[in-house]
Amino acid sequence: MHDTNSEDSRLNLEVESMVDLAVGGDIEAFGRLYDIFADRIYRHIYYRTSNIEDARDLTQEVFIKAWQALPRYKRSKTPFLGWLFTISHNRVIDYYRTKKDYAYLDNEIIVEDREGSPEKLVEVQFDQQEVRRAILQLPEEQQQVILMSFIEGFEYSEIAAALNKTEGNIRVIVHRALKKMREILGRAGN
Amino acid sequence: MKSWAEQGTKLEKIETIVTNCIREIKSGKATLVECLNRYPSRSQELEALLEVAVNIQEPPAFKLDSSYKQVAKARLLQQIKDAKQEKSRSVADIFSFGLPPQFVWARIAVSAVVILIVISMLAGGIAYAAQDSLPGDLLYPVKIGTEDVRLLIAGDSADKVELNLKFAQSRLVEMCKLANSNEEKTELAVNGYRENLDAAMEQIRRISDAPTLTKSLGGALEDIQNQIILCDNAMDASPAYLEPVREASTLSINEQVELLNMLSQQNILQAAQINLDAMQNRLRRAQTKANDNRYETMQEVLLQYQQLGQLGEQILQSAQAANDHSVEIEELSLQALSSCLDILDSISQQLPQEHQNSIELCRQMTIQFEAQACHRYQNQDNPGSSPEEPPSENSGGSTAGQSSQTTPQYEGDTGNAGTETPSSGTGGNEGNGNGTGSGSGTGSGGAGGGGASSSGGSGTGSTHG
Repeated sequence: MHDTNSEDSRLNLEVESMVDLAVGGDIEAFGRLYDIFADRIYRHIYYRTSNIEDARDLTQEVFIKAWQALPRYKRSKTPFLGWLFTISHNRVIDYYRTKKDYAYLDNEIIVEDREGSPEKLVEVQFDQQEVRRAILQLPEEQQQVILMSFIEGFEYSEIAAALNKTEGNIRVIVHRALKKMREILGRAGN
Repeated sequence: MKSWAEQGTKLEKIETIVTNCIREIKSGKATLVECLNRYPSRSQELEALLEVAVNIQEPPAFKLDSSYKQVAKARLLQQIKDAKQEKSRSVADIFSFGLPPQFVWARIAVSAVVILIVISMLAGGIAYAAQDSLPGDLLYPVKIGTEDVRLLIAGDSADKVELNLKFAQSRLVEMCKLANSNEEKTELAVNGYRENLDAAMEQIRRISDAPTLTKSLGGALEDIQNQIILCDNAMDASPAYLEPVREASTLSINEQVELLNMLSQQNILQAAQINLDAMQNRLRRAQTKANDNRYETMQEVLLQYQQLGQLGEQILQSAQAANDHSVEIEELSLQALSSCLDILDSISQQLPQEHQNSIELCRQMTIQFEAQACHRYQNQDNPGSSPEEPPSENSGGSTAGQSSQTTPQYEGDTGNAGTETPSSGTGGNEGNGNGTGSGSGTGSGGAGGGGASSSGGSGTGSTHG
């Protein structure tokens, strides 16, 4: 993600210093990282599970895992958020491996419109369900790259760093994934 | 920097075109139609993919409910604090010996006696018993402590390299034992593996004597090869906790590449030979995985093959630039790459269409590597050509240790004479991935004379006549 304004740069600096403190064992600094990134991780997981409770639990697990693995993060050259996404991805995969329940493909994600009607929650349909289903049917690696690139807005270089691949590899995976999605969407259209 | 649109006549890979178009469309620099107009010959294939791409939209900002978030955060931090206290308490408990806290001096005295006993027994029973312990076991710190002592009393850096790699192998064995039972402990073993590899690398960098360094690198590469096999076996056993095992596998390959890079600066011929062997080793594994229909693992192994292939090409370029064993390395490369292309063809023939692209990429990289080897090889036969001429535009003065991140096979600079960039197979998929043709023209001995697509394979069988 390109940080073009000063607010983003400030946030990046804050994240860097919080990560340093957290690696040194500062729990409060890790709490600040939770404040900053929990919503992004939750959104990523909810997009894939379409189950609020599961997404909440998995988000919590991701941060516990991240705390445990922080000493390892110090040596990787990945943006912190990218690193959190790789943990999220692995947690979601493990979750479905143990659950072996593919009903999530049929579930639709909904958005609670709190601002529009504070008294009564209005469910707003998300009109990308077909595209989402197609993404979720991709092989794991392609799924992760498409989500990080298109949904989370990471640059190819950042995805490459997070996944320990070259930028060229990532471009190839994007290309393959789009071809596969085209097939899936074509089948769904028929 | 030159924009992708200005590259004009340069032959670009479809994945580069697609991803660049997506970037331009997303940033508003170009429309879909403008992108299509730039590539009229590929517009049909491109349109289909870009339409899918522009349809992927960011979802609305789902957020955690703020009150839930506060509670969850408090719970998370508490959980972390508890775990931390538990850890420090367990250490303190070990040294309390059941004595109440007010008997501080008694605790210290008992601790001292116990420590003395432990030290005196280290050489014997406990240390021996600890050898079979695993991360998380009570005796595991004794095992690691014994290793640290052995490192401390080891003679020079070369001895320390050897020991660290031996201990690294122990970590892998621990990982294999734990990979089906406990994820956290498996990760601890992999962390230990990484630390041992880092320590080995640090010690290698301290060796200044060239013959000692070469010998040490050779030994380290043998150890790493064993560790790669261990990781392969661990992956094949389909462990319950695959991720840490996969990480260990990546670490071992990265270590191999780094060691080969260093060796190439000491003994370039040996580095080239080991690297080519490693490439063939990866391909044979990919073939086995393809036979077992384990395509995900196959693709991972093919990426490792590409990683080694890129290194091989860099080693070759360094040898050619420095005229250091270049003829031998070219001959070795041609033999090995011909065999690699045969294996790739064999895999390709049994692979479903959706996985052909990964084979195709490996094939392109191999062909490019082969063309690099042929270039100079043919110059040897051609008295009119200057042996000092750089073999390709990007080879001059480069060393194998540099630009490990370059990915020539993806970036559209495969314009070597006679090398034909194949279609990615999207629209029509001619030849099912087999119609590439080596394009290196080596069979007839005429540089750049190839390029005609052949449906029967890579066409490299007669390369080294």
